[in-house]
Amino acid sequence: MSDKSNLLIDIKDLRVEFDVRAGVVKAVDGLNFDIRRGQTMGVIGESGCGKSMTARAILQMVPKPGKITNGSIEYYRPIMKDGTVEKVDVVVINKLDPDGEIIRQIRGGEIGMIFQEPMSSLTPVYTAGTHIVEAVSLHRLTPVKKIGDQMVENLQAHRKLTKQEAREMAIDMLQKVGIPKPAQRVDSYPHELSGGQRQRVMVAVALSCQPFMLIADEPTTALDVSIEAQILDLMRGLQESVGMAIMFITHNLGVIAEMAEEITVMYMGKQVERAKTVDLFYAAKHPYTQALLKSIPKVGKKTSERLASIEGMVPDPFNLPPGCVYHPRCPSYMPGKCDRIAPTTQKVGEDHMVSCLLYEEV
Amino acid sequence: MADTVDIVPQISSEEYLLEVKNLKKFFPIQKGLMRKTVGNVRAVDDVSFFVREGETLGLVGESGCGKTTAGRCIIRLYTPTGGEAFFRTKILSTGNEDKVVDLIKLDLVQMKAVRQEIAMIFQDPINSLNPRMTVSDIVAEPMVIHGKYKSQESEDIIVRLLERVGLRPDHMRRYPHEFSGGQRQRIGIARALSMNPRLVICDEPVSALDVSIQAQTLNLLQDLQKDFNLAYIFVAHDLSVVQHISDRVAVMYVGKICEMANAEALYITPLHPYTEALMSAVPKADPKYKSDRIIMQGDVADPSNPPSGCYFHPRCRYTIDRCKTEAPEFRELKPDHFVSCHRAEELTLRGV
Repeated sequence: MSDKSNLLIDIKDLRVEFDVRAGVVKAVDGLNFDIRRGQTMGVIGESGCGKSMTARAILQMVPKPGKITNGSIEYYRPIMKDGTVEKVDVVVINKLDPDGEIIRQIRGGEIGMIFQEPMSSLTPVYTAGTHIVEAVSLHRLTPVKKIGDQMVENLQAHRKLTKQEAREMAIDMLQKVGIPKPAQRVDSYPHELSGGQRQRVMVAVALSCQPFMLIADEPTTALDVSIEAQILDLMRGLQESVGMAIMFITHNLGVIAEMAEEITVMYMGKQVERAKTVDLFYAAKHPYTQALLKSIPKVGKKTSERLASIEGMVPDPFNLPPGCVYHPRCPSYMPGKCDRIAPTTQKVGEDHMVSCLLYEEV
Repeated sequence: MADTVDIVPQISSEEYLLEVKNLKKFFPIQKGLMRKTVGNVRAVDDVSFFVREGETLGLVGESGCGKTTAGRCIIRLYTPTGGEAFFRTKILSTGNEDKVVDLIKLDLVQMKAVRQEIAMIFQDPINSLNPRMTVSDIVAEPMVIHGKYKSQESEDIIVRLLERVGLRPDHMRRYPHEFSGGQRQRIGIARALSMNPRLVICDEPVSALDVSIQAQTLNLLQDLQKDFNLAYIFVAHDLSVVQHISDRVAVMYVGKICEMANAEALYITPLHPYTEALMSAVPKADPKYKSDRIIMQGDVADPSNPPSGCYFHPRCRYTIDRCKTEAPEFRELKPDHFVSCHRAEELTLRGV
């Protein structure tokens, strides 16, 4: 925010809209967001809040009929020479052709991605067919190919390597992500691996090109805690060694507390709060953030207390409430204010932004 | 109803509603043209536990450890390979007294009757509801199946149930796809309660839900438990959720229970090295907490070819020679704290 020198991604007033028969869904609604080099930015929020759509917009992969209707996504593309950043090119991602040469170099090569297992990732706004096409076009694992071949292809596509070199690198990456007997496993098909192993292979694929940034969309949601711990340690280790930035999308607050330096909280396509992780957990300002933090059960001393829950539900995206979109569920709702005036982002502390009328003079 | 059980089943304590003893479920691995059985996946391998009236027993473990299978064996969705499951029921008794039956030995007619008292809530609120049935049909279905459906009376019950789980009764003619994930799970809960059960097997009931909806659902389950004196078997892999809702927790590893105790005792003072490792891996929602994880070596053992001795020994930090050869006994080390580890007495393990 204050320090612009290390910027990697700068998103300004981004809007992503889906024009469907029943109306227009604003999946991302005026989002401002940035990520610096080597930083881990956590993004939290309930399903449908637009966190995954933001990730897709960065890769110019918004599924149809979705469109980026406003704003800009600037990618400060580092040009490397002898292991150091020689200069930085500014690429406006949303102006690029989604099938063009440049975005294909960036996607998967300079910005890697890990998506969650498809278990709960189907969005009702588009068809199953789209999901499948998209899954194939993303570096998702194809069931009919050996994982080694898929890793080799990805490596060859983004780095000038011979097939043999790429294969050795693939084995090396499998070793790093903790797959037992990597030299044999490289010839396995995805169905021969367990869920945790598949996810680790996905991590290996994403990291094998040593991207500047990794977008991890719920990378551990479908995994057991023991495997999750391994994957998180692995991501952190690799981040330290190669200095990559991570955009970590999750709704698991325990995971985010451990991984992120800074957290953005989203609700209905908007950023409601952004702060350093410690500030967010200890001094959350927005009532939505406060409620989210209180609604998770904590391990340790057992209390008979009920969990605090957020009343009501996420509003109908076709029929958003006026004013602040959170006001129908908000315990600090101020009648006559919150239902009329949309809050703007206010600075409430160092690197701490919140958009709530409680912190705004109107 | 004819009593096919020769020996009158005995439950160990007056307090127990369900007592499972040495439950086994092996899935055969078949190969070749003649479908010859070449091995067994020991999904549930000699498991014993009990559930008291009105309490919640959490069942945790990594995926593939057999926790779901154990739940399904109790309600006989799978036919167990062996073991006993004593259950206190009013359905098969002649008077108003409880009668103890062995669920594993019941014939299908008797089992169907007992299922009025054992209900199930499934993980996936989308696929566990029939998309062609309305909400009221879904909630009424158990009553229809058990021949208890009387149009006006049952309609009233459905309205009350829907209100109780926080759904609007005027939505009862709607179809499942018109509801959100959290609401669908509430429909599933209403259906489970429609026959007034004593035991509800909850198989990952909140893992598909968002955090805020998860909190609402957990609160609802706790309220219902109090109101209807329900006992829950709560199968889940999220350890913080399980601790929150459970009175007692059993930890499973490769088809066996390695530890079972009061929830707080299990989390704060675990006695089994596997529990210790699991607890250390739970991400804490506190950025100031310095994590000190025990990374378990290797992968979960293959249940079709488990290691010798204690199944956990290849990954355990405290393995001694005895662990490799001799399987530990599942024993009550402290009151109400069961563990199966040779070294449980001497080890001091850390909790969360």
